[in-house]
Amino acid sequence: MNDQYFTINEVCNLLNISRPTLDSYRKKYGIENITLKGKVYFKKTDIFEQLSFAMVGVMPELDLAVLNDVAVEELEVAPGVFDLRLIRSIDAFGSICLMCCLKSRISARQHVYLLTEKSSACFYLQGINFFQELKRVNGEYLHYNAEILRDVPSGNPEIILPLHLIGYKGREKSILDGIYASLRVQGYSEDICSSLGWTLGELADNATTHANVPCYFMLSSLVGPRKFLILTIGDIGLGIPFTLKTNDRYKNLDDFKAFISAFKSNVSSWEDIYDRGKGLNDLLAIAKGNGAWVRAESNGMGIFFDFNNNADSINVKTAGTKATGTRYSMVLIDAEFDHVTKREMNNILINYLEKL
Amino acid sequence: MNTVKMIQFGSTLTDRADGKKTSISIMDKYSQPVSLDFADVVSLGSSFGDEVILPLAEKQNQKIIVLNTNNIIKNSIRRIVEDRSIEISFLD
Repeated sequence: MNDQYFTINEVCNLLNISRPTLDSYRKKYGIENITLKGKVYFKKTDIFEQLSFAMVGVMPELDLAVLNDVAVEELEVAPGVFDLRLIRSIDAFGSICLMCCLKSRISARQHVYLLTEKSSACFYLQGINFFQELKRVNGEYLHYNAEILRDVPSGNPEIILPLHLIGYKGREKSILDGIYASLRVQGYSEDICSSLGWTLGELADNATTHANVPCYFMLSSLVGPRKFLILTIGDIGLGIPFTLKTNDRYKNLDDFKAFISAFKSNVSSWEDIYDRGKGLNDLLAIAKGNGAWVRAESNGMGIFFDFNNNADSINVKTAGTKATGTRYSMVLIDAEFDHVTKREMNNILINYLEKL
Repeated sequence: MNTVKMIQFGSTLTDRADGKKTSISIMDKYSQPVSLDFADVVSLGSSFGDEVILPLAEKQNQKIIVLNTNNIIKNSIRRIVEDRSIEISFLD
């Protein structure tokens, strides 16, 4: 049988139950089976959806959000089975981490099973085109009950731009052209639109040039006394430490130092003569000049840069996913954007690196 | 002095490769010195700007006049010329 079916023994082993217990569950929950050459098989999706309570027991609910320390792999209740019903709340960062995690599995031709229900988290994911984008990766390896999410209420006022794939170099520019006018109509300033374009341009260029992979992008807002934009972007490329260390100058750095060093100006995987490597320093300078924050992660290492009230703090975070590649989430506050020099930004990073 | 309307290259000017192409186009089509007019341009990334401003400055005795820049484009240009002896005049 193919990968979409379990034998009786496989189900008993997976759920850690006896054959009589399985038989009682089959009767109780009406689990259908097929018989082939006298052998009984169960559809994996049926088993996961109807009997998974037995596997997971009492699992804590998870908040997959940018300020939290949770990896999306905590949803994996059995190999390849992600229980989205455990999500209590999710935002753009959590969604892109989940997308990157699942995409990396599906791209490696591993079957992925998603357990869904009519919950706000699943509605959120449906509303940002999460399942459609995942299906585009390779629908053959994705299994979930789409019927459950049919006719869900769509539209989330916080989402300005749902999940978008930036599949080729420069694609972000046409996306931005389409949203500048809309943001201005909604009262966002020219400065915040300009900062958004600069930031997204640098990050998308990093993904498509250095990581050489497509990336996912979302734009959301925060409701409050001031206007905020949250830009979230992620890819499943080789990751910052790996690419930076292809430059001999950085090859002896440990991965975490390489990750942080990449935010200094003129640090790049490319040869130094190209004078490259400004993009990530720009990103932090914009955030610092704006009193904002940036969360970044690469290859399982997470970091949080907080410039609110001149905190200039850098703290380690749990990576949102163990998948390779890089993810960023950055808030932009519709307020002042002061000029910050490369030297100022480098000094903050050098001070941090010296303490490691 | 010729004025280059930067909007012809897009409203989001990011990406080093695009900056390089833009620089070649400016050098081909306009005789130097030129000023750069950013009217209607929303964003300028420093890697794009590197490729345009630094070679132009070299050809113009390290002086460039830029027009109609928003605050953020100004910040980007300041970062591009940081640590370099280039004189930028912002005319709004």
